[in-house]
Amino acid sequence: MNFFERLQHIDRRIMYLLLALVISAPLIWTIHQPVTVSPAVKKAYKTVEDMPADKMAVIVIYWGSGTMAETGPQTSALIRHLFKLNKKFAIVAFDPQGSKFAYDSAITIGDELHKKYGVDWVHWGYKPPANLLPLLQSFPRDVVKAMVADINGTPLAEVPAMKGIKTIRDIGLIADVTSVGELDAWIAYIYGSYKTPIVYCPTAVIAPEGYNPLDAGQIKGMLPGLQGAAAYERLLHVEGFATVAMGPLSASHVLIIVLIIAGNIGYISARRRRGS
Amino acid sequence: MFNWLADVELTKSIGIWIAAIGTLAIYSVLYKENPAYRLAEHIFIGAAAGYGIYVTWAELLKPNWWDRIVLGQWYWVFALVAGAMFYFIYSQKYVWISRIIFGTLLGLIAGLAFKGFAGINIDRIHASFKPIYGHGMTISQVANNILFIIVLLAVMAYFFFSFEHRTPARRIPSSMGRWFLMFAFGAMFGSTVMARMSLLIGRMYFLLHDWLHVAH
Amino acid sequence: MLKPDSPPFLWALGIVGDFLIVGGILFWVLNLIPGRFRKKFIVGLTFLAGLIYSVEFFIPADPKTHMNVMTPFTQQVGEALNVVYAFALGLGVFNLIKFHGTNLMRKRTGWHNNLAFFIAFFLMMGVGFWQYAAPSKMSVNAFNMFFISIVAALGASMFSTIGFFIISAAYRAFRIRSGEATLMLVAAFIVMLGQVPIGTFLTKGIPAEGWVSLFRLENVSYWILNQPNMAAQRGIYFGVEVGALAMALRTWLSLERGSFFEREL
Repeated sequence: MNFFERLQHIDRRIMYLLLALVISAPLIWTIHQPVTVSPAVKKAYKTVEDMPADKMAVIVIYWGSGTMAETGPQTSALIRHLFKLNKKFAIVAFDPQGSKFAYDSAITIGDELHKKYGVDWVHWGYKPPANLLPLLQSFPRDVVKAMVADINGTPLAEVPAMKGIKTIRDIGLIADVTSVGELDAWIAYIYGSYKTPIVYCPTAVIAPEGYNPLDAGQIKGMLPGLQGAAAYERLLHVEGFATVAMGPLSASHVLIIVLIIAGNIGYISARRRRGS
Repeated sequence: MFNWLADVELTKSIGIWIAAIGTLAIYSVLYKENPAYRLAEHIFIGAAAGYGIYVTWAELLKPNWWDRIVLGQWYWVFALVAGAMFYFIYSQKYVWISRIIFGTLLGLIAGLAFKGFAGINIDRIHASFKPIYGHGMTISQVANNILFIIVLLAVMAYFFFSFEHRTPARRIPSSMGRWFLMFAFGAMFGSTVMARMSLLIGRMYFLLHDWLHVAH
Repeated sequence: MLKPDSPPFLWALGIVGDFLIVGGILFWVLNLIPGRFRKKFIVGLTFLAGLIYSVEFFIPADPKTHMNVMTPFTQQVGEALNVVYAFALGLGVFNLIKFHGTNLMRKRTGWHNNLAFFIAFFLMMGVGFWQYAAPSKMSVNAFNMFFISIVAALGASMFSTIGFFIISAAYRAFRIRSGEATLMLVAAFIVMLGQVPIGTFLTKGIPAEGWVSLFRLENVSYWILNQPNMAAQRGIYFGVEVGALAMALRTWLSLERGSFFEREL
């Protein structure tokens, strides 16, 4: 077996070590890299900007600790944008861990931007994911009755932020931050019936599926994965984790491409030798 | 004895160390399967389950069920009766009682299919009829729309199994559909790689920035 | 008679008492159904449940109120299911406790892991309820400490190992064996590079304006995702949606042959 053929038998532990090194290096020796803002992210940004000030945005949290590196920055970027625009929003979580992550994130950013819980924003608490479809039938007609209470158990009718919010017509935007891909439920039962604008914030695994409703106009913008969050941070002129992660992300993608090419060089070399 | 818990910075530091040790224990599986990984895995499952129980009560059952009963809406006890029916799945003799609640819930969700189908597909079908000529259309728009129609029809032809793919009229679009699907799967893989790397970068950032303080 | 400010344990006793009475009566009534009619009963109930939402969709709504005669039922069902599903969440936990408890009681190999499961389970639950019932600096800090260091950290770590596995899997699996595989690889490379800054850097020499800008990697990547990928996804989804509708209809009408349809219940 010559050198080129050996290229298709690199020990996986060497690859793991290389990956850890190429990710660590840009984090330790920070290299600022420009982030491209795609049209989908620009549309999402504009949709949030254009939301009427007298309506409320709803940030849907359908992610947990497993994807918090991607969906956490997306959530934080949206929260920051809504706070900066002085637009009210509600968080509703379909994952118990995501419920706390989103709450803590909003509290931290709210403290930084002098926003008060209960007045500028509210958390509608955790709802069982299996109840998403029935909830989407009852929520549009009476938001307070469907969501009942906030994360602290306070009846929503007593929360100042909920003043004037009665039906889906008072909701100006739904931002679906998800690792599960339940967007079709929101499109089917909310956009399909009430045309409420939806901004989709999926993990990169399910992001390719989002271009379908984006083309059909069923979602008004998309933040695909960590890159989408970094692009949104660029539009907000902040440098969060997503922006910092672009360097390691670049390096890791280059490593994977190099390894795949190396493997194929070894494969072609071995095939040629067998052929001759 | 537990007064140290009141110190935010101390608990944060202890938490970071526990998290770092746990992270490294999980990563030890990359070398080979070992007891540290198994232990960390079991601890995570236990903690996640315990946390789920707490959140289910605090954010779901207490405000939506308990408080309503306490305020006089006693009929909410029926929700507990309905919920208890799920647990008959563990009884061999009375498992059919659990089928009642499962069947009811499946029926409810299935009943939403018509509305769901209409809500999703009407706009998408409408958007699929793209113009291939018109005033003000650029060359790229025309080209993109023509490509869209070709790809869509080819992919749909690939999944059309009612007739065998024998004749060229059936085989060629189906074959094209397979090529386009492979192209789309390649794009999906590229996106998937970004997702997985993002999660890894998140953990590496925690180790280097929050724990070791070597990253900026 | 209990009042809203009565001690919680009295309310708990009252609820359990009501549950046992109502549940007991229902259990007795259900067992009166002869075996040969139980399947028909379940099928009928499934069909009636499905009627709620489907009839509500098909009956025209009042133009002023946007509601029809079935709408109030759908709202009440949504509220009720919120609670019913919450009780169902215990099924998973019950299974875990049963599995780990059995291993622990029988001292099977690795029983110390099962013990660790229970310690973590009761610790996290206990700390959660502690800070809920008696919020203080101590209880809140303890809760946050255990949540961040165990639930968040270990959960994120477990999913992040996929990053390592994907690199070795991609290295082994991606071989240019055919034209289609090559096409898939090319698309993957373009999308991977186009979404990160290095892709922008590689084609920074190409002008950002004009038709030439289409050849910049980030634009090519976006075009791939937004055009051919989008069209392929739509084709896939049309098939999936029709299949899903057919499956939903079969489920609603109990035409799906499950594990219990072949025998008497």
